[in-house]
Amino acid sequence: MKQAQAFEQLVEFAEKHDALIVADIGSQSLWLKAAKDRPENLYLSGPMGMASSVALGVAMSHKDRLVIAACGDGALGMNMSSLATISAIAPSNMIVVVMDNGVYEFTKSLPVPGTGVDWSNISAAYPGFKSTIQLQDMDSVDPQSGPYFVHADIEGGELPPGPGMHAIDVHHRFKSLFK
Amino acid sequence: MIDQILDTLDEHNIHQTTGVPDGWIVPLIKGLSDDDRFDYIAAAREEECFGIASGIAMSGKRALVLMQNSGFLNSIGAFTTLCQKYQTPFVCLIAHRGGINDSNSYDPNKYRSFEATTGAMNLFVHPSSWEDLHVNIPKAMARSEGAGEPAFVTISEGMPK
Repeated sequence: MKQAQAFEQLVEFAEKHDALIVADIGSQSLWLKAAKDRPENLYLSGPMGMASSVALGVAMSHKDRLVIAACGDGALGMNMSSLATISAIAPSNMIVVVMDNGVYEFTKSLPVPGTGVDWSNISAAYPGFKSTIQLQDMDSVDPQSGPYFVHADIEGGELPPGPGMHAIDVHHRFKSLFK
Repeated sequence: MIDQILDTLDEHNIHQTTGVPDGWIVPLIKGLSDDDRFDYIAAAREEECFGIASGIAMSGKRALVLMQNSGFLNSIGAFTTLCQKYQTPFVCLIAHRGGINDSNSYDPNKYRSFEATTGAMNLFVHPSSWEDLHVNIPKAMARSEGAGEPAFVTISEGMPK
């Protein structure tokens, strides 16, 4: 599956459940925007690997909304400790998705060290996650009974279309949802 | 003293908190964890706290972060590319280890590195006593929201007995 298709599927799921999506820098933010630009999308264009942590803050602030962290495998590898934090808190309204293409797509597709990680079985190591499921099986979960970890096995090597949005515009558009 | 701080946080709608423990701030972390008015998210690493607090801020809520000065030094990348770039306001309470009132003689480098780094970055850093925290945290929150970036409140000793 190409990352574009993976994000189209993710957006379809998010719209069905009125979910918020926090996307990591680079591929994830831009592919998400290309799939569908929604005010519910929070694009991160600066910090590598912070989507899971930012999403946790959003999820704890709005426990009645489903919050999805869309992470790259390279990015999440830089913030693996966030999985321990999320596992301990175990917010029922949160899903962490890893887009696993095995490369840093924006860095000339150099391989990520994540080849040492079994993304398909994360919930065994971080037991606060209810289960690890494949992207194509997302419709099987009750989105408010999480947290779930979702593994998306995707192809690498294709740069997303640009451009992104300015960080401050992203911030204020997202915050306006809660006024 | 802890009850006074908690009541102040509640009065100012600061209910979302996160941190990594330092011995000096453990009484406050325990207070936050045991009080139903607050969520305390125990983070595994300080950099996460800046992400969590930014998520809270971009959700329209107020956040308090608690960590040691070395935690900020661990997190400067996330601070600059997330908190400053996205202009996310919150207050970060720092256990400012290694000063003249700290008996741990192995910590002075944390102290001077925090001073030098926050000074060079021209950040809002407000030294406080424990007795004045209930006044200074709300002041720092107001300044943070006015400036559109985090503000730091530092304590340079443990809570008085």
